[in-house]
Amino acid sequence: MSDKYKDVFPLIAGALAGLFIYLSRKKALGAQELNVTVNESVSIMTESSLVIGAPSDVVINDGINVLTDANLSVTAPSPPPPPSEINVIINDGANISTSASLSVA
Amino acid sequence: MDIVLYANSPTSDFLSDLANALFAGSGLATAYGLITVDSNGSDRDSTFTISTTKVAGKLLVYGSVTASTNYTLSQVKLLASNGKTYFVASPSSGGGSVSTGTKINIYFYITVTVSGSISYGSIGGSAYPVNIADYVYDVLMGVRSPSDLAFDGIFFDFRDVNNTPIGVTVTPSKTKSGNTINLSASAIPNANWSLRNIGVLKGQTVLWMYSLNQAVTGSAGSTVSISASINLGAL
Repeated sequence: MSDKYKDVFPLIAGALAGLFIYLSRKKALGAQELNVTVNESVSIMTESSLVIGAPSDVVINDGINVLTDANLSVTAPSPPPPPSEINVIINDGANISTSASLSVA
Repeated sequence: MDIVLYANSPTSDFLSDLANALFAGSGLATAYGLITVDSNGSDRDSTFTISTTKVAGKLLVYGSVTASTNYTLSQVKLLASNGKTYFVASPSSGGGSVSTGTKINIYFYITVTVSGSISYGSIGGSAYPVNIADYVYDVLMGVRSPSDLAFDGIFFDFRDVNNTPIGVTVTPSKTKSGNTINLSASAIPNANWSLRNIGVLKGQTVLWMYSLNQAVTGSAGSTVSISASINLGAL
């Protein structure tokens, strides 16, 4: 052993001995523990309804179900007045007039 | 509004063309267009998009025009493809007022018929059409040639003593003066005979017939002759 450690060895040995004594006394007094258990649940309940004017209903259940009643009304533009129209009916014709005489000899 | 024109208005051009068709198989043209005429005699509106069809023994020529101005519709002309006017129909009274934009539907009904008589002594009879009208209509419609109107046979419907047909067809001689055509034909039956009907033929088709009110009878070898004049005019 080197001469330079001759002076500090007794100090280290003394410190270790003091720590041993402390730890021994602490064990003798009893350790404290805290256990935490968490049981948690989260429930999200949602209900939605969408109304697009009465009487149309939109109900959403387990997906999307759309029930809708709709009435479509189309008003045609007023028809233009019928064009003035006339029918011209013509009875015409030609006659072939023929006179014949028969003779027997 | 309907305007009904009761017209008897075949023009001299039409009658001349028809006479030429009957005599020589040429001349008669197809219906081509319709023209409206105002009360001043001026042509107004025309169409050359026409349809032709046969309706109840008549030929219907249909077309429509749109009035280009206000006028009194007083006549309707039917034009032929040879540029001639074949009919000029006028209302029996008045006319119809049309205004600009009025659609004028023209239904031009044409009737062709045959009338006349035949005689043998005191026995009379009459002439009547068979296929002549259809043939004239077909020519006006453009589905038949005017050569189909040129009659070329006279059929003497002779019957023997048992009423068995012993008919004879002969070629007639024809002459033409103006719109009058004259024909003559003779046949000599080879058995005792009776006769009531005589047909004017084009090929195997009877154009018109002469029918006596009662049968004429004769002996084999006699000469039976017919002479006829054919005149054309209004219905």
